[in-house]
Amino acid sequence: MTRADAQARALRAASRVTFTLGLFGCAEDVPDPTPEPAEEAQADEQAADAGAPEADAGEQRDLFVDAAVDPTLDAGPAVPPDAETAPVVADAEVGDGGVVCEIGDPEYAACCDAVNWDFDAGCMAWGPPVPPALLA
Amino acid sequence: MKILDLRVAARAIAPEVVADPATREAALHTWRGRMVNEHGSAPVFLALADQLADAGAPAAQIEAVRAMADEERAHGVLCGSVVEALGGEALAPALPEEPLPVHADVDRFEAVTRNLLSVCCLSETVAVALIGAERLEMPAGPLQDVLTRILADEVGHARLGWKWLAEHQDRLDAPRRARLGRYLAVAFAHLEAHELAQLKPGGPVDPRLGVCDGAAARALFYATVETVIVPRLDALGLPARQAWAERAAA
Repeated sequence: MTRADAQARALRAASRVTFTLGLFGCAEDVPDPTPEPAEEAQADEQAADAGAPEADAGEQRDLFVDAAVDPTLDAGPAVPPDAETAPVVADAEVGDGGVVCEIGDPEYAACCDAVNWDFDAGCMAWGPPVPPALLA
Repeated sequence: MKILDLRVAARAIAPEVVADPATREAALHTWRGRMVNEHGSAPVFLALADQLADAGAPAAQIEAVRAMADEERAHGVLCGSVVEALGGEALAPALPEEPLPVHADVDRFEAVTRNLLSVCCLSETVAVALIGAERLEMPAGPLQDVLTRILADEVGHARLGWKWLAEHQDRLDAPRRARLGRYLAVAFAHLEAHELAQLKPGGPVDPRLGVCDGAAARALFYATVETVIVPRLDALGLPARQAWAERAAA
């Protein structure tokens, strides 16, 4: 698959997640500008829905896609059951020790250097950051 | 400082990854960064759950959001497993914990709506597009399985915000919509700064290992905002197009 195709399909998947059946009923006021073949729609839907049941999945579904979701689709590797309870964040001293490292603080960079951190590495924009405040 | 140490849990997964020596280092940095970002976002969802409780959300919804924090930690472990599979260690400085804004200038419903807009409708919707594209470019195999698992959860996280907006349309009167529009300008500016800082063009590219083309990822980010998020928010009655246009001044 070309990068352009992948991006177009990913955009359609993102578009679908913005539509839910709530109080809007069938208010499809932002139609998908690039309709896709049925089999592509099904493949994307399988990827987007794999292992992601909503709390009220009986009421919620995408408006765009009629294709049945394959319930046997592999949702990826399982995380070991004890992974959540493992002491994953520990206090530790790196560099001059005892320093609370803040992003942007030179001491934070020193700490990161100690573990070969690379601030220039790309493609890491996952995990939502803390939302901003609205300053007066 | 805090060190995020996921080595034990990550080694238990051990996906089979064949690394190209030319891009292995870039892949290591990328997946270690994802490990930190994903694991570090768990407190955001825990705080969101508390704010939803304060705003009177149903217990089931609050519990679902708490489960999302578990999912983010699990994603951290999955990303760490890729780091280990590439020959690195699932060990890095943890993100400093920041409190979720309380938005004391508005009531609790509007405050949590602001945070849901930022986290779910903006950040997580962009994540669905970025991860989805990367997954489609990647050949089938253990690494794609990791992306499939993460993408599936991110879809649920994004939907949380869109569903909230759809379900609470009757509570969004004109003054609230105007205030949320002003907040959106700030949230868009924050989102853009965050994404551009993390999507660096010009580095090594290897779709087999999840090392994306930063320039292409930036283009996809803008396309997601301008053709998906802004039109949908506008359709839901929030002045998103204006907010996006005014983000630089926010």
